[in-house]
This record gives sequence, structure tokens and C-alpha cells, in this order.
Amino acid sequence: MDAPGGEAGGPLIALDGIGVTLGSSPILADVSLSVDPGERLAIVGHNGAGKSTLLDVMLGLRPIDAGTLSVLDQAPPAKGVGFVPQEPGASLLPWYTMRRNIVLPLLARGDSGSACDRALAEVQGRLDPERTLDLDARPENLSGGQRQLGALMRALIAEPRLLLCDEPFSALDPGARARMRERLRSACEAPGGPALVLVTHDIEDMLSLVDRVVVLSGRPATIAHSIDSGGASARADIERALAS
Amino acid sequence: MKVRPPPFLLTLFSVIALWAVVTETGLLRHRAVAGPIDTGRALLEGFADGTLGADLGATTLRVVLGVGLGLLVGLPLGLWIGTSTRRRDLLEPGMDFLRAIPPLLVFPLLLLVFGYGDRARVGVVAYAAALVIALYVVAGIQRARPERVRVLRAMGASRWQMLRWLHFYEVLPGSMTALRHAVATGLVVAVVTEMVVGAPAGLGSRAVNAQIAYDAPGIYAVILLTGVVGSLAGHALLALERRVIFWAG
Repeated sequence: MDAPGGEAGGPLIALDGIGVTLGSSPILADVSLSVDPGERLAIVGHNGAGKSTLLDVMLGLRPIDAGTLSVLDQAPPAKGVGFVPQEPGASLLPWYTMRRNIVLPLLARGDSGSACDRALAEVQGRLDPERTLDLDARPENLSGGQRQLGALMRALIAEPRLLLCDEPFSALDPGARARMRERLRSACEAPGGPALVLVTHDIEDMLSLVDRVVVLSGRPATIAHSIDSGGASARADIERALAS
Repeated sequence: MKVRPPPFLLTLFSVIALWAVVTETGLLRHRAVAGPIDTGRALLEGFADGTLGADLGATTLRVVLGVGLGLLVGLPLGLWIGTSTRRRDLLEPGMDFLRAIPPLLVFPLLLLVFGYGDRARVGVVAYAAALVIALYVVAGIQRARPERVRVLRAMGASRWQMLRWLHFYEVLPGSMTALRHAVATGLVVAVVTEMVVGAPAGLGSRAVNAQIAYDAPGIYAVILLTGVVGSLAGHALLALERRVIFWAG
């Protein structure tokens, strides 16, 4: 087996023959996938195709019925993974300020208060240099875009090697969506930035953020297509794969 | 500028006026009927000689101790049951069964255990409070937003961190509602236990003593005072709930 976890060029995520059944319904079957360090991958498919389920498998939130998997050389849930959920605003804890919400991943691993402050200043410098996000506000008092920014800062504050995003921009207007897309792209492209797995429906996300698009389809779902999103015919290839 | 009184004051004055008309004019005559003037006099005299204050204090203390004890037991019990699907599946049917039993039916059992004293009265209030609080807490945990659970689990939060950062706050709104129900139920239970097994002091025993003495104004005074105390406690807890749980509204 290759040295996993990216330490010597091995994959950060290695899924082999994954099968997931929910109740008596098979959701995923024979899904094999690997994500290398620095790679940016989109998982696409129709509603209910099993995209979020596959992400939950990678996060260790969903048990598998078949296959083997490792994430950062660990059996999930793995340390060193950042996560932006489908409704980032709804996932923020309303009883805490944004400051407290953002540093929760550091507190979960036992970092001190001063380490949290340093990491917060650093992530704010990278993602919000103009200080548009009021860290002392509570989530309910912020716009959708600001909450989204806070959720992205929370996902990146612990400097993860792998970032998993589940349709993170779906609730935003086009302007906020473009700004968040740019922030995410620059965070992933920065030196030492995380590899990205992005579940999305938006073809602009696919074309501007990722290197490769995998299409889940069928019932139970499996990987039907893998498309290089940098290719000249990428848009047409993705649209054709989604229509098939 | 024209000042309009709060609607509840209009209702209150209307009810008292109607009460005065039917009783003080002799429209309604019965030994079980007392007018607002006699009732007010019974209240003033009761407070003046200290006996009504002592009875009110005794009942309030039983409710506060019982509900406090119920909170100490019910909150951790609800968290313990609610945070595990296995424990919830095992224990929730039992809690539903207990919920169907009027708490006062447990009182004779507690009398056998603790004897004829306040421990049995406080115990039955505590039992009723613990049950309602635990049920609300279990329901509150089940209603936790899945995205919040997902994010905290994904960041590797321990069970203790999940409890402190998420479940405790998720169950607070339900716990405050449960506390209001527990206080209302506790007041009923405390008063009834004072009535059925004579307590040295308490609003329930005062009402029974007034009935034995054919003192209708005394009974009305206890009824009114109990209603006012229960209502004030409910409103105070509701105000506290709105202030503390700012995110739920």
C-alpha cells in the first residue's frame, strides 16, 4: 500500500467499493474514489443521488455496509478535516458569538485561549482582511453572506489538510456567491491550503473551483463519470453527464 | 394624550364588579358565597395576624423545594436518556407509562416510605416535576438541528463537548417550558397533599380549616391568593425564559 495521507504522495481520501444502505434502501454501491493532496474535486448528481451521504461517509458520520476507506490515513472521523455543511448559517450555534463559533474546532482539540486568538486573527487576515465580519455579533444578527463567511472561517481555522463542503453556497445571492467562491478558491490555492471535496449543483462552482468532477448516478448510486474540469469541453461534458 | 389601561385590568375590574353586584346586592345568597369585600377583609386579616403569610410561605417552600429537587433529577436524567438512541428506546416507553399516572397517586406510597411529614409532600412534587422536566429534555434533544450535530461531530467534539456546547442549549427552551409546567403542577400537588393529610401550615390545610369553620371568605381568600401566586410565578418564569433564551424567539 502506498504511504497514505499525503505524507509521501499517497491519497488523502481512499474509498474502495463503498456501499451504504439506509434502512432497506441501498443508497451507494461500489463507489471507489481517491483524492490526492492539493486536488480539488466536485461531486455532482441529481437530488437524492447520494452526494451528501458520500460526504457523510468521508466525515465518518455514516456507517458503511461494504468496502474500505481511509481519510488522512485514519478511519473516519479523521482529525485534520474541515467541513462546511449545506446550511452553514443553520449550523452556527445561535447562543454563541461568531468569535466563539469560529474557534470551536480548536477548542474541540483542546487549544488554549491565546492559541485560539492567534488562529482567529490569522484566518481573519486570510479570508476577511477588510474585517467585514463582526466577530462579537451573534449569528442571528448577521446577513446570510456573513454567516457563510463565519462558517468557512470555522472550517479553515484549524488549518485542515482536507476541506469537505456540502453545497455551501446554495442559499446565497449571486453576488455573495461569487465572493465566497473567490474566498474558497484562494484559501485552497494558498501554500499549504487544503484539498477540496465540494458537493454542488452549480456548474460555475465546478468550472472555477475544482480540477475534477465526478458524477454520481443510478439507484443505488455509483460514479458514472469522471470529468477533467479544466478541459476545453468541460462545460459541455458536465452538462451531458448530468443529463444522461 | 389619551392613556388606555391594559386589557387585563379591564377584565379584572369587570369580574370584580360583577362579583360585587351578585353578592353584595343579595342577588346570590348561599353559605358557600362570599363577596369581594368579605374576601378582601379575610385576606387583610390573614396577613395582619401572620397566619396567611405563614401558610403561603409553607406551600411556596414545598413547591420550591420539590421543583428544585425535580430539576436536579429531571434535567440530568433527560440528558442521559436523550443523548443515546439505545437508552431512549429502552426507557421512553416507561416514561410515557409514568406520565399517564396522576402524580398524586404516588403520594400514599411516599407516605408509607417517609411517614406523615413534609418529606412525602415535597417528594411527590419532586416526582411530578422530575418527570415533566425529563420528558421535555428528551424531546428537546430529539429536536436538535441536524446540521449543528453534523458539524460538531465532524470537528471531533467529544460527548462532553457536545453536551456542553449543543445539547444543554438545545434543551433550555423546553426545560424552561417544563419548569413552568412543573411549578403549576407542583402548586396543585402541594395544595392537595396539604388538604388530604393535614399539614401544620399551608394553603391547602387553611382551605380545609376554613371549610370546617363554614368560613366562605377564608376559602375564597385562599383560592384567590393561590391563583395570584401561581399566575405571578408563571409570568416571572416566562419573562426569565424570554430574557435568557434570546435565540429561541
